[in-house]
Amino acid sequence: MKQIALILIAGILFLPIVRAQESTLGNTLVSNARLNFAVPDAPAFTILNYSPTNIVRPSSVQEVTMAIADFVRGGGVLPRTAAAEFSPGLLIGGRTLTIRQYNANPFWYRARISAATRSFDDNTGRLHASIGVRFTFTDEADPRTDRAFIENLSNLALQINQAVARRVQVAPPTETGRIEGEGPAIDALEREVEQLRAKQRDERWNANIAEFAAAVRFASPDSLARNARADKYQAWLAGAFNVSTWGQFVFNLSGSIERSLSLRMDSTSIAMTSRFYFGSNDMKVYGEGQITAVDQSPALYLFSVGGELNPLSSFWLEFAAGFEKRGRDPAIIRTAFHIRWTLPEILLPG
Amino acid sequence: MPLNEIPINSSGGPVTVEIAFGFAQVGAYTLKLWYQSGQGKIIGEGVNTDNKPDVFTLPKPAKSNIGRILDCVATVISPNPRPGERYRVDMIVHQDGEECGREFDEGLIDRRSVSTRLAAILASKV
Repeated sequence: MKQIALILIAGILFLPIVRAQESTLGNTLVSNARLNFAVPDAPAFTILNYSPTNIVRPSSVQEVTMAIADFVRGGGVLPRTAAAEFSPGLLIGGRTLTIRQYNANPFWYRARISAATRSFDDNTGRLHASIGVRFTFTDEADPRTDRAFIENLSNLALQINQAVARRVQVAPPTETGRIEGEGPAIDALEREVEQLRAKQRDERWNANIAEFAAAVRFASPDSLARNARADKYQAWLAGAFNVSTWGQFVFNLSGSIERSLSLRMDSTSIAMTSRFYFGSNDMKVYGEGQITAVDQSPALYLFSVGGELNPLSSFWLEFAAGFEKRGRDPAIIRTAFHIRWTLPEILLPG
Repeated sequence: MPLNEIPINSSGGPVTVEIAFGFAQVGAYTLKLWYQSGQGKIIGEGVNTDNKPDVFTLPKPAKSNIGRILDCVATVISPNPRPGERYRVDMIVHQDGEECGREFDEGLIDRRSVSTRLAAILASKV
């Protein structure tokens, strides 16, 4: 509770600073914030999550993504959880990968591997680590497979290139390499590029995505990860579906098996989670319901409301409050507050 | 960088030039062939996202291209810019089913669009 109170106080103190910076620096940071999609949920990250909900939110592929969370550790502000996710297809074959090849086989290029660690206990250094995979069956938010967007972007690329070629191809070349020093016409076309990207993100924040994800968690009794052994396996079937331009429905079906108190791998559970988002990409609220069936225990029900706020590029604030109820036991109130940092999308200079 | 030479067989088959963009980026190009007289002619222009092949055949016979300069201006735009996002553009010369040589440029995408110029002199294979 003391930690939650500290984070809340830090958040309350931090937000006005962020707002002040935004107003001081004008539209740049505001535009920058708008470029970032919602909090990524790599499966390796989610399996280490100790909040009651275990939803995996589908997202579009990037070469590499990183996230850190739970910024309170040992009374300081070191992150407790760190995760990275990468696409082997984009990383390994990227140099020669054409956009046509990507579009011919998006399933393989969207496949991702993630890894995460979480310090479990500040005193003993006990550590949890995890690895996960996810496969995307469909992703209507992926800019590379958005035909209309790519066609418009290509038209702008062609216009920019023709302008550059007209300027430089006036005499036989004497050297090769990058061309610098564009003029006002190219600057104007580049602004159109930025507007086009922002429009695509604003329109596709709640696009339909369907994924399968799986992860395994390892537990180690010390911080050096000696004698680590698997203690949980989990798999998810996740879908996100758009509701008009203002909402998104996320549905998860997940199953897990983990080590019970007897240290045998025999504790199984199945969870069904649905979450409804309202809002826009950078500020949204949600309502969530989850039913978890755990073997030999009464079903666990979770209901919560929460929100996600992207006040500054790459930083996300998440908050949730609700209650959980198991069988005939009285309901327990649950609250959560997370600060997450992810690799930012960048607002490139013209 | 000064221009490199790409050797072609003067008695071989038609010479083709392919423009390729890596890292799944969007690209556009203008390919020009410069004659020894100093006159230039655009032999190909387009984008890498349509269904048209980005391969162009040079004038025949192959011998007539010796000493000419291939000059490609290409522009790359990332659909989804991230820190560390890269571009790569290749201009590849083929003859008789084999690659004769290539010019390429690779680097970071640190602007909304990145333009580069690839050029090479076509030389006689010894």
